[in-house]
Amino acid sequence: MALRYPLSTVKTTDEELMQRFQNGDQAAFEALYRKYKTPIFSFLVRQYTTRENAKELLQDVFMRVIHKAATFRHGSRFSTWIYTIARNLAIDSARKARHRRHASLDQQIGHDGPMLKDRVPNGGPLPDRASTHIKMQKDMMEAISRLPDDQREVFLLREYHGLPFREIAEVVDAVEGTVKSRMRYALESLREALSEYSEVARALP
Amino acid sequence: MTDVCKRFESSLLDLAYGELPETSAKALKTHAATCSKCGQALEQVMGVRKLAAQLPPLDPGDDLDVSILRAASDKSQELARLHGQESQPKAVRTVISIDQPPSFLERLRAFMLAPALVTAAVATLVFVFTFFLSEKSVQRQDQLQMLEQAPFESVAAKEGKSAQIKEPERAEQIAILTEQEVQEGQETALPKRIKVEKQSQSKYKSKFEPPPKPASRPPSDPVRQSTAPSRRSSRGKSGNLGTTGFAPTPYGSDKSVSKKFDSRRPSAKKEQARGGYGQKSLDDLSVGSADEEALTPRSPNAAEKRAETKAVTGHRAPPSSTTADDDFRRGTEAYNRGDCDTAIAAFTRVTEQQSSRSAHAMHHIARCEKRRARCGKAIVWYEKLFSHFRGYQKRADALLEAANCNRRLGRISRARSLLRELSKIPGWESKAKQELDRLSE
Repeated sequence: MALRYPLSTVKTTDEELMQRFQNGDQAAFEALYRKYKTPIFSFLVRQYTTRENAKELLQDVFMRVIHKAATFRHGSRFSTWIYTIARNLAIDSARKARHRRHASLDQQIGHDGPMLKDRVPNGGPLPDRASTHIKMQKDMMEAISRLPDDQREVFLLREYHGLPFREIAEVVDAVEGTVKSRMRYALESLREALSEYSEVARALP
Repeated sequence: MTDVCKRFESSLLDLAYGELPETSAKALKTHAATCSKCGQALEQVMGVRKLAAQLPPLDPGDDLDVSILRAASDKSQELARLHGQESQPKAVRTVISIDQPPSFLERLRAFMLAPALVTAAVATLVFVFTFFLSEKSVQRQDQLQMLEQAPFESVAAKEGKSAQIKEPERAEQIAILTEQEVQEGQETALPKRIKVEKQSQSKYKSKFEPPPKPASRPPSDPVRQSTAPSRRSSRGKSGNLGTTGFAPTPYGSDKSVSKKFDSRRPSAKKEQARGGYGQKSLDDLSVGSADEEALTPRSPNAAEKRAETKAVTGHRAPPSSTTADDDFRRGTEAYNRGDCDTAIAAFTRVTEQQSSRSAHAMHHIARCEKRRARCGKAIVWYEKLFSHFRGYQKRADALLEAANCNRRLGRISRARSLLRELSKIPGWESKAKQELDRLSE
């Protein structure tokens, strides 16, 4: 019988965890789930949809990971695989929602996307410094939400999810040069939109 | 613009995001320090990065954990079978630390700890086995006492049988009622967050300490007395129980309980033929009947919980005398007159009170949401219902409705899997097939 190191003492890559899950180790999946649920949820909310829909999509993403576990190829990166699943599901869902959409009193005027309040963390009553911080977060989120979809997607994946440009190219099905070009435009737009915080940025560590 | 500046510009993103080899990065940083234009370009990118880092990640909460990890558990067992091995026992699993590499000391500690763990596991098994034997004997005494004292008029009347029940039948009914209560107690008390950490027996014992009896309850309730120990011991049930109809929990495995339930399989089959475990008690018992009173897992802090719920959700708090039955009645009335808001509020209170009608309440909430064309929300309630109440009487209806919701939202694969599950329920095969065909079109 092969010796299994206790999971807590071994540095385990996502791909190794996935391989363990493919061999029937539930703890390996739980580790992957704990690691990825918040990043994937953040990505879904900020890129595609509301919190509520993002939760449903998040469930779909992990259900797909579970049911398609056997199809995961070793040699490919787990992060690329799961973000590709999340992206495809979100795009399919948005497409279907567009076909189903009817005029509604709840509908936003002039914009199909989610409300900004759904994408920004909640804040209670705030002291001055904290309120400045929250304002900056809101402005940041607003600036991100105004980016074109393809630029926002690349920016989120690189900035918040740490995917290298090469992997992002795989996820969004584009060449690396295109990804970098989108990233450049995104950074330029954000710099302009957040110019009032340039001093704050300098002061940040 | 020099050649170095051109190279800097083309590598700016790689440099800012640390994707360059160390030597190249060092060279470009040196250049940025001397060239004002390149230095400014790098500073601007880093400035945006610093601001972006102020945005916190969004937490999805933990209400999806149960369903996802349960699906993973089922799948891992299936995969383990395919690979000809059993999945690891949960009790020895620990949190996986991904970010920290193992040090020599950690490896040494793991090595030293292994024999201690085995010894501890053996000692625990011996203790649990001894405990189970003593519990079993006490339970048997209680059952015998109950057979002597408590007639089953109400149950017999509901099942259309005469009050004269033979001794073996009584014993079987006691077994069924016991299992129903165990199941309800286990499912309604299912915590939201699944902890992967090793669960100590004492911890969850204290968490699920049986509630004190309310004043209205008769001083000696044979059913409750006989079931209390078995409920406590069943909390640790783990894994997919499949046809036994008991929902798995994320806690450590308790083999004694599974053996106990497996030993009742003949009665389980009979009960399933009538519609499944727990169905009679959930659906057919009249409001406020003595049997339901005995079967309802009551929380000692129900009033506090309601007050807390009001504070959090803004639901109107019901009067202190309001029971789950009252809420359920109000909810049903509101549902029947089409007042979905009131119905949802009332049914939500029922689910919060961990009543025996929680399953019905969840089903009605899902229907209300569906009625309001909120299929997404409806599905969430249907999934809760499926995961918490596997033996729900109207499971077939719920499966069909949930499949329709999923179909409407374009989740064909989920709809298909629900319909496949429906096709396994006797009497629903043709309907499920018809819907599956419709789905294929």
